[in-house]
Amino acid sequence: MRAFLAVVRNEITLILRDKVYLLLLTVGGVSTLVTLAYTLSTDIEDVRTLVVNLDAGQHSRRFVQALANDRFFDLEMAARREEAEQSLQDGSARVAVVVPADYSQCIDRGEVARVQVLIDGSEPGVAVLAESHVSAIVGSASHQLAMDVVERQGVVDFRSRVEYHARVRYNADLKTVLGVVPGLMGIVLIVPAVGASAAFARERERGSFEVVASTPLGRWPLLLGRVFPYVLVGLLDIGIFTAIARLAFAVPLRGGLGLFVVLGCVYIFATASSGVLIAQFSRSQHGAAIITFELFGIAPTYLSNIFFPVASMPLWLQWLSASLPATHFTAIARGIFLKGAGWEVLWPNVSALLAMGALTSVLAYARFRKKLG
Amino acid sequence: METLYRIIQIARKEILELWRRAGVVSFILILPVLEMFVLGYATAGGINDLPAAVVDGDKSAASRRLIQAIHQARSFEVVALPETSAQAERLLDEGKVSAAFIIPQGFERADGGVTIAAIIDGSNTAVASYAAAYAEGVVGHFTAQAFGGLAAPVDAETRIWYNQELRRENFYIPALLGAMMSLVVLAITAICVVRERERGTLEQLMVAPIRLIELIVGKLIPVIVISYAELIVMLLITTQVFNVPIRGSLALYAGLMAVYLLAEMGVGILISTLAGSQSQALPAIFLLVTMNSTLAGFFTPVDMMPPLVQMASVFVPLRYFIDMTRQLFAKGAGFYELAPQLVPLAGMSVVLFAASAWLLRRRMV
Repeated sequence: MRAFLAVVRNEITLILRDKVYLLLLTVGGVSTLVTLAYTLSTDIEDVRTLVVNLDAGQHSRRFVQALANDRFFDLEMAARREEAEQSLQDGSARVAVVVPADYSQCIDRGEVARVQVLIDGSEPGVAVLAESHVSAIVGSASHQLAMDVVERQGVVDFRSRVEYHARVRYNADLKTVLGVVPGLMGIVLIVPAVGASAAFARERERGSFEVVASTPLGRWPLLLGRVFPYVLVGLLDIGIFTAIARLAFAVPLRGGLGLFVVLGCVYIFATASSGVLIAQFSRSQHGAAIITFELFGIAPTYLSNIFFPVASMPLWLQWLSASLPATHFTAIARGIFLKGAGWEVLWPNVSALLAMGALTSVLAYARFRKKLG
Repeated sequence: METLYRIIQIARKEILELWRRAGVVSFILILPVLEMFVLGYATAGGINDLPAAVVDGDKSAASRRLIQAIHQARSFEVVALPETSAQAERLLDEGKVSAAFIIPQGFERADGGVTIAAIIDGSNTAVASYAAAYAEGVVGHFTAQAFGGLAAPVDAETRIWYNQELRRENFYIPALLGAMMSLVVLAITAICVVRERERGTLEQLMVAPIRLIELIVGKLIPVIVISYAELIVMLLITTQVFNVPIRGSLALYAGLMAVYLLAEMGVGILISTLAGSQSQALPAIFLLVTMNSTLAGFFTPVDMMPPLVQMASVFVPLRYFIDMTRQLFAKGAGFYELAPQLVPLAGMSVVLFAASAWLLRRRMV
């Protein structure tokens, strides 16, 4: 125990001495979380849309009104068809809708009325949603008009009575921020792992490993004592991040705070021991830090469901995603914050993290012991 | 002539030094390629095959047709047919499905009207808005088809410009190209400059008979050569592996890259002059590139971001470069279309470069 405390004290002294590193540990995580959360939480709505209504009839007014009622579109009216194409070219609008001059006439005559829709596809995320919203509005306009006909003719088809009702669970207003902030926590919580990784690589770089190896300290105190301060940093981070999520971004905490803290520690255990393992193989301090950062900080932005859906990816990337601790932590954090989930739902993710942590720490210990000779 | 000779000498020395650090340098050069493959395959194709559950309360021919319709739509893949809606909600809780459809009993007869319900998992915001829009589309399409012989009275003739198949990689890969170029430039510049500070050889250079500008140009020539080589590799992957079209002029793109490199090298020298050691500079650079990329509109269009973030992004050179890359690739934009981005970027390049030279001189003297 005394040996352990001595190693802890030594490590803390080293952390406090390196000011840049201290800054990264404290301010780095918080500022990253806040910046990324603000930026990635962009809800795609109020898409600038140019409407050219060439028809003076009442049907077209109804159609344009339906577009205006959809919060997704931010409408601006234009008089000439050419303006629609122009606005897409110069980027002043992303969607342009042209209602032809014979729109109302066609409907009254029982012919198909065709609106023209131009969508800028260079931002596919926006374009896909724009396409869906337009087709939903066109569909419901069709439905209404068809219902009018059906009523007039007295024909009743069963499907004319079918209604559709959608409900979004856990996040009723579909606010991106509520899903992004818990997701990002896993990414910023890698600070302890990067630190632990750098700490182990440091003495290899400085050549002081032999000095440490010759001290009468046991292996476990040497290994655990070095990691412990970073776990403390991680615990502090969990507290700060939870406060930021609740207060700055109004993310509801529907599950247990205690459970979140415990599972946060499990995550830190998994990432930190992976970081230590990486350090055992790295020759330089920043090499170890960067590889840890890439694996646990960058790869998860693509692969842990924060921004890109894993379900749509090729199988080999789905496997890669499942092998990243952050993927499981994203599920845990979203589960606890938004779904109010408990053990009974989260256990597969928790066991995955525990397995990763156990495997990497055994490997790291074996390698460490070999090096100590 | 003398000047040119001294510049070449310094460049030669730098190349030797980078060669000696081949481990780190090759790591920095391979990383962007790896990231490009991961991001490219991660985004290739649409947001499709979202796992869905259907509760069939009717078990009729009509309900089976609806399940077929949901399954055959590219957007969803029906992975479970739970008996009750409570079981479906449990699947949502566990995150096994992104959407659950509930077909009520009496769907086929529809006496008195029925409601098809869809429950969307709003916690996974990566897919939630797509799942909601798709679900409405699938059910709407199914019911709209239904009016016997009546054709739908309103139809949309939709044309998608610049990226007809809505390939997401066409949006993300150009951004990654910009972000990774900044990583390469910053990291290599840091390796070249910080080392002198670490070893205290900056003072030696100070007393050597060379001018500051010769020193900077000589040091940056290898950075420029490596950056363009990396650019060529990444462009080859972009066009050959991921089939992202480049509709604009490559010569123009090479020129834009030069302006952008100047800005990033300025930032690189600034960081290197301020950081005491490589172990401080490199992690800081990785963090900076990550923050810059998101601010620059890597993930979401800048003009849709919160106003505060938009304001911050004005000072990020990468923002202009990503914007220009996307426009040049997708729309084939030329010099005049890109001028609104190029002018501020060029201004920043000059300011950043001048500031870094000034700081370097102050540190040296």
